[in-house]
Amino acid sequence: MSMRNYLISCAAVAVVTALAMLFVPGVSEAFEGIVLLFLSTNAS
Amino acid sequence: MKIVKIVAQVLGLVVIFFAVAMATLRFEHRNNDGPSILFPGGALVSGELHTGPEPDWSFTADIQTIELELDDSDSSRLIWIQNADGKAYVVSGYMDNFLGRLWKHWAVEADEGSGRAVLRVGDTRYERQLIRIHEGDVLDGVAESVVRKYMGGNPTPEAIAGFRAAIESGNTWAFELAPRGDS
Repeated sequence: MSMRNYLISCAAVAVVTALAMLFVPGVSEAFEGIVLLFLSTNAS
Repeated sequence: MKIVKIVAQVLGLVVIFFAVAMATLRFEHRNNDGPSILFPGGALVSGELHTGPEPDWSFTADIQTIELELDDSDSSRLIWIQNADGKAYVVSGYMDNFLGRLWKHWAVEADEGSGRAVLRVGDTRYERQLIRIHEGDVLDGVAESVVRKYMGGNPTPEAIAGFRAAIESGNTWAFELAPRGDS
């Protein structure tokens, strides 16, 4: 992937992620749940 | 060499995804009625406001975390709670270095600001004044509560003395959740 296409991909991932978290019902709750599960499983 | 570049690019995308997701979640939670486990929230709105005589805070002995809002910023977070001699306290560790103060900025805000706060335990809110305790024998009770509840449950004299020393050295800040003078 060229540098130009890679930077476009990065911007697209950032925008889509932010919009999905803010506006798609359940996405933010699901992501937070996954993070909590990871932390509770791996916390020392 | 090409495979290394592809792996680095994929890792970069994954990092961007997690960074943006966490930042967005923090933004999304900023005005919530209370914090989540991971992110601070906004002002504590729901719950009955306690009025009447000062409670005996020993009822918090079996409560692990409470919600604490600072009036100066209208932000709230989950925090440990300690009780000693019927009074309530909160502590904040790692305060003797820049990263700790950045992480536990609420304690800096409480110490340098007005210290006015609202505490929510269950469905009850309590208006409080945070007063930092630098020294004194009351710290033995605070340390005993911390050790008993959060550090293994065996408050030996050595463990209590060690935690009290951490408070008196400034590594850990302790605040009394005192009743407000104007309430």
